[in-house]
Amino acid sequence: MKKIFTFITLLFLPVTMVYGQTFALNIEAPPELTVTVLTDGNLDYGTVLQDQQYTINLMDSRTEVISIKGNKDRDIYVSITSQNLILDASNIIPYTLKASYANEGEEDKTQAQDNSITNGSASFPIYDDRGGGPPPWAGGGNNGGGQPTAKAYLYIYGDIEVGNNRAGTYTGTININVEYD
Amino acid sequence: MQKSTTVLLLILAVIGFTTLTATAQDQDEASSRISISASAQVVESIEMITVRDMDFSPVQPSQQLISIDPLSDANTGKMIALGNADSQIRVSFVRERTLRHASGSNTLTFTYEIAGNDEDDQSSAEILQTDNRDLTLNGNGEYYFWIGGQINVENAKPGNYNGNFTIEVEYI
Repeated sequence: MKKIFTFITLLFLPVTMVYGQTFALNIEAPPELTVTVLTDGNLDYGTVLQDQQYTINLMDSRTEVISIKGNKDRDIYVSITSQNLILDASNIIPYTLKASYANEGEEDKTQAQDNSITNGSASFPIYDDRGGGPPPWAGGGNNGGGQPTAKAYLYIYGDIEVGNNRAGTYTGTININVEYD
Repeated sequence: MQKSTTVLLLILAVIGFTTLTATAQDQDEASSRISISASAQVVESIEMITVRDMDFSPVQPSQQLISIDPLSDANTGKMIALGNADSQIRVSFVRERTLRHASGSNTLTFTYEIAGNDEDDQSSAEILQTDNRDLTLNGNGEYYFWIGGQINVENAKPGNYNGNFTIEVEYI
């Protein structure tokens, strides 16, 4: 009888402990990073002529704007890779990536430092309270009662140098990867 | 003692499993990737070819008005714009230009009239306004211009008068 009791105890005890420990640990994952393209998703240089250089700068209306929503107390690492603009194997337009970020809580190019993302990567806090005012939390102030979130903004622009390229539509891809640092 | 050890191991196993699960979830949600595109439409530069200049026959003293009809006169100037096939272009020009006497300060005002066509056919061309935005190069990348106009020489002093005509053509 004692053996049976011990067996039953061992059989049921871990089940009880599983539930007990699961709730007691209270492990909270950081808010999911949400990356959203706020513009049309195409850095469009429009109609360009041969043997000319064209620039889309930070303040240009054609600059692509991307928001990053995440834990306002965390740093993020942003890496951007880009291709040249291609028509075919022998017709390529070199593209020089330029990018900046703004992390004072507002989508405001004047808060971004020109070329602040150098060589395609940078680490920075999602929210930098340089203004000293109340933080403009994204998503209503918290993450469903969890950790507060904020938004940072990326600006993608750059230069192309058109040579004696054949006429046509040239395209390239710009990949943006964001992760908690 | 053995029972306590078993329970402790189970607790550690549960903690370890829960931690591993949380770490995996953390990695999944802690990064995000997105792509955008970049694009440019390359067009060849537009070239303007002058086929012939306007030809004013010697003006007689009795003439008051010299007129060259851009739609029918063989003395019109002729130019061709060359660029990307089927591209839309904008054409603009200044309608009035001043001609200056070669050896004096006397001037004449020439009023230009221009006809354009995407075919090499003067008679079916259309009269262009000073700013035209709805023109298209043909399948060979060509657009034709015939340049004529009018000038009043009633009070002009004898001699040569020179001036320039400028037409601006650009892609839209």
